[in-house]
Amino acid sequence: MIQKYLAFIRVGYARARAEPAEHYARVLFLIVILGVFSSLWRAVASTGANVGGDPHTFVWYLAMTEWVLMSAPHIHFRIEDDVRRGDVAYQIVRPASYLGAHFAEGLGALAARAPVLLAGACVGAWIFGGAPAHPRSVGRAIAFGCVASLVVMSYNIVLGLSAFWLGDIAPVYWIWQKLTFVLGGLLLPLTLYPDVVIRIARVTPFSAVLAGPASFVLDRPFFSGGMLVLALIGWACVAALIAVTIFHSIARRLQLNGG
Amino acid sequence: MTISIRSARSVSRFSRALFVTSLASAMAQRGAFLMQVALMALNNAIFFTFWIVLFSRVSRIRGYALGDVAVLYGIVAIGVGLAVTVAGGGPHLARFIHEGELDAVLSQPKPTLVYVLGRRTVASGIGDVVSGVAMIALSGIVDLSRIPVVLVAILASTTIFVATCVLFNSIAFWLGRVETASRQLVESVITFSLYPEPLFGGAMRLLLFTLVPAGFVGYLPARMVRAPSIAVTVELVGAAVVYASAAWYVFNRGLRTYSSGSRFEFNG
Repeated sequence: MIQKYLAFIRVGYARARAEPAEHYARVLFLIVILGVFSSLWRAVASTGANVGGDPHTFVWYLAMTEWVLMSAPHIHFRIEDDVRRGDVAYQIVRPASYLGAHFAEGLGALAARAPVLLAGACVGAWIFGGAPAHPRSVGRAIAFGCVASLVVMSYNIVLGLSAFWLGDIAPVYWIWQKLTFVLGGLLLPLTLYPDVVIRIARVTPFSAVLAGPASFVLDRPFFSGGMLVLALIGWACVAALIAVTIFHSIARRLQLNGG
Repeated sequence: MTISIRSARSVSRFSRALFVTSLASAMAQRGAFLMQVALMALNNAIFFTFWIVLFSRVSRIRGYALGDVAVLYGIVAIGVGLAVTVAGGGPHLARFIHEGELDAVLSQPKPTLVYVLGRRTVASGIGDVVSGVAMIALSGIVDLSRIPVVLVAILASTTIFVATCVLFNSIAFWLGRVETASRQLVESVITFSLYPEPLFGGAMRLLLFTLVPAGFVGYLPARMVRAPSIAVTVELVGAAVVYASAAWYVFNRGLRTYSSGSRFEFNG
């Protein structure tokens, strides 16, 4: 039972490693983004405005949020491809769960991507933000960030399943991504947003997966460690429940239509 | 000369027909089409809240106020939106090349690049255009007298973005499977073009006006709209011609190395 999913993990890992150009492009993109934001924060700081923190620490915060988000494999596009090409029809009759297989493959890809991107994020943050002000907090952010990437990946599966209705999932993905920007505090720490945004963010998965781990580097955690563990587990369960419910409903319809 | 003008007219008629067919195909599922348009417009509005929050704390960032960022964002949104609406095959070109999907169009009498670019319309591009128009209108910088300038800026931005998609994706002719890397590069052009130009200096600035031409997709067109001048117009139109020519050359050069994917496909 476990063996076949281990095989999917190995496939995911091998497939991710087979595209080194993608890794390098991502790492480069991450480092450049950190450079852009370091420049933005310096420009904002030079106006004398109070942005509620040190620009250098904000670079480390961004490095952590971007790392979590970029490490999560884009399984949703693979599911979209399965739907568009009709491959899903033969994949669901395999003796392995369609969702389980994608999750396992994603896990393998995550294992290949996360360490490389983490190295890129830390190097970039060090170059543009200097040494971390709270090194131990960076360690905590990384530990929670690994779990958070897994939760992000689970929601990517849910996004991918929307292809059964929409065909092209790009718009839903963009909306999801932008909600992550705002409610997850991807670019700006959530504490800079108005209270109403912070209140909404607390009851969404976005703050748990991004601001939760990354805010440790600001030394002003958005969630306490215990709360963050509960939030991440809770939101992972919600993602699993949604994915399984949607997929079962779709699979029933597919079998009926397919005759 | 007469033949080349006739040929250009023929390609132009073909491109129009291709666009109409692709658009009709995208609109076949009207509900999904409208949802994609609406969601993309909403997506752009959500992203812009980042700038609203930031500019609620500072009035200007290196000479850029909120209205200037709205113009920049509007130009890029319309430019990219038009590009994926009219030439929606561009962002997927690497996959077409790697998986042998060009086989079906190689035997067509019209230029392969035109066919490949125009055979797909991305519905969400129209949402980009709608939100871009709204942002420019609400920026408080553009009045009716500047509409011709805005149109030239958008046309140049669109041309350069399509050319960039072709250039990045044509790498697949030589390197094989580069779809994700190409997509990353194209996305990085969009991402960097959405930040105020003065944030970038030195090597980064050189990069953004050459290999990752976010400067020509966003900054220069926005500069032209904010403060029109002949020098900027010439620079922008010149860049559009250079990038379009480079894309045409690189794609056709790559086409010579293309090997079939033995793919069977029906084209209506």
